[in-house]
Amino acid sequence: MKQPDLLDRYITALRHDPTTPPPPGLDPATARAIRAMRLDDSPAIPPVGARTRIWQRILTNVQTDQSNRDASRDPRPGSWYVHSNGKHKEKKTMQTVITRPTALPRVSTSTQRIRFIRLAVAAIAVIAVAAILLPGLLNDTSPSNPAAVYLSPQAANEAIFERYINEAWNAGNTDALTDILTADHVCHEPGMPDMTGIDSMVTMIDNYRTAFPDWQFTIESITATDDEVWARLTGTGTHDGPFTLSDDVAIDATGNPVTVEVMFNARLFDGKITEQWMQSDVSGMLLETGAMPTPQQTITEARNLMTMRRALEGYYSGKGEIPLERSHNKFFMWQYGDRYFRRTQVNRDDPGGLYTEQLYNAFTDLEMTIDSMAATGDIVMAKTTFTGTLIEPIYAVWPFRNPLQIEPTGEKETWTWIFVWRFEDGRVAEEWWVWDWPRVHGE
Amino acid sequence: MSIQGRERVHPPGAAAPDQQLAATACAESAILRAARDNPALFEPIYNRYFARIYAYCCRRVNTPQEAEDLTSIIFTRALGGLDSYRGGSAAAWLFRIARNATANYHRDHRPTISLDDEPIDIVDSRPEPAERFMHTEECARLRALVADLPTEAQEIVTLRIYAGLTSAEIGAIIGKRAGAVRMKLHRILKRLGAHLNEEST
Repeated sequence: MKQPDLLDRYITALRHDPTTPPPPGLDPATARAIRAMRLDDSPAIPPVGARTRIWQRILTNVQTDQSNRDASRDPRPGSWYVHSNGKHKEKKTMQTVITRPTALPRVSTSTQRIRFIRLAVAAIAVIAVAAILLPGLLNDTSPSNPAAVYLSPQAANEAIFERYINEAWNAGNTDALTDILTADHVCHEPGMPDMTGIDSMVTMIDNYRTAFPDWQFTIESITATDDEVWARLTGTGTHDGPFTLSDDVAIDATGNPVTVEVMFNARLFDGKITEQWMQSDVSGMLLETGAMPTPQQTITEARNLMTMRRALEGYYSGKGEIPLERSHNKFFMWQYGDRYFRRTQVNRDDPGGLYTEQLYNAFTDLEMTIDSMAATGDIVMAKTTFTGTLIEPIYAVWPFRNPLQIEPTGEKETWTWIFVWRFEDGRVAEEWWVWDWPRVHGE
Repeated sequence: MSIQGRERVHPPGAAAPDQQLAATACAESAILRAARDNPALFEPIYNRYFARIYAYCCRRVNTPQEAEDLTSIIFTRALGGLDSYRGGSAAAWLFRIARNATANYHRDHRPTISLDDEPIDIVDSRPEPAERFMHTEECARLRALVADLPTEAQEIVTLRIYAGLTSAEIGAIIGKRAGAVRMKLHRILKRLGAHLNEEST
């Protein structure tokens, strides 16, 4: 490093720490002079109270100057150009007599003309320069170039974050992320694995903009410190594309509008976002896309499931609210049919009920076990296992055009029966079932 | 730097040095513009630069009273001439006013010796009397040498060492490039150091 630069650095260091030793390589004579000067700063310490005292003097001086200026201002601007050279007689008031010499010295006509020309030339030059520079200046102060204007660290951080939201998220310009995020950027989201690197954010934003092509974040509030930004945003979009949840799961487009509240906390380093935490109402968004049942849907499904369980157990195994008694089979069916099935269905033919009666007649020790059940939307499914000993003949299908009668075998049979019920307003509107009939008749 | 952790490069609440500079320049600029309508708003600038301006004045005049007078003149001119501030470093703008005001002051107050004026005391807080004496003597010799320098050299030394302006700010005041200011300051100090060495031997 050259001697002048070494010296410059040494002077700066001495201002912060007067005991700083001279840097190696600095000329000793120069170092001696500068140290002696720095040590000789005692007389420059202002006396106690000097700062306040001088400030009061300054304010008084300024007030006095202002008063003098106000007093010297001529109330008649036109009289500035009135001369007392005989041709134009100036009105001599007390004010003009007192203030004229100091406030506004008289100027000759030729001087005025020269000044006018100078003023005109200057005005034209200013207009020309402004016309050339103004568009450039306006561009430079746009949010995309925050460095062009002086910004506080907080304002600069807010500008960077707003650029991240507006350009990357709202406009879908993920190329801008290389200017906005550091290469080792990490995004944390509850319940999700950390996303590291710019590419992962590109993927995330692309996924959102594929699923919601009109995605827009609105910054509801934002605040920043020297190295962090906190913001509350509202995201809106229409679910017009597949919304990828994981590598192999995507929610197909539903056309539903979605709104989601998101809290952002971003940490910045060297003018870029290096880490961010997103806390968003993903559940709400999934509800709106239809990917997740609403609480009401969940309650309805649970109620349908419970209804089916009670009905099946009551029907077939006597574990329901009313113990099944063979002799009261008919009564039981009506009782339960009225409670669990839509009246129209029950009143029509009640095939299930009739068939159940046959089953109990044929299999004296009929028992049913519910293996598993599932509900989704208005559908409930149940897989059941039936066991019983066939001691009476039973018809294979119903209604019977050519009824196939199975003769009693006297053996214990086990078969699977699957029920699918559709519910409306808490009661079964439709029923499908399939059972392992060949096994029942021994094939 | 760890990404996962919450390590900070700068202490909490502290901005990076370049950000601090930008923030300071921005704040000063805003204050100076606002003070055009309300001079009381100028006070933060006054508080920030008072000690440096006073130190500068102490080096340019002979007595504490003169230093106070000159300080008040400089800030009064600054307050009255806020329209002349065109942005940029407030320090450079203020010390440009200080330099002109000092020149005017010297022109208006020709050197006179007054028995009433109390010379600026050299108050030294160093504990060792022998060392204190040596430093005091060396400082006195140095001041005499600085006083013999040309005006511009005195300006550069005072602005850089006592007022704490950067080379760029001094360059803006005296119309030179920062590099030229550094070069000139080095020559001056080298010469002063050589004189001190000669006198010692």
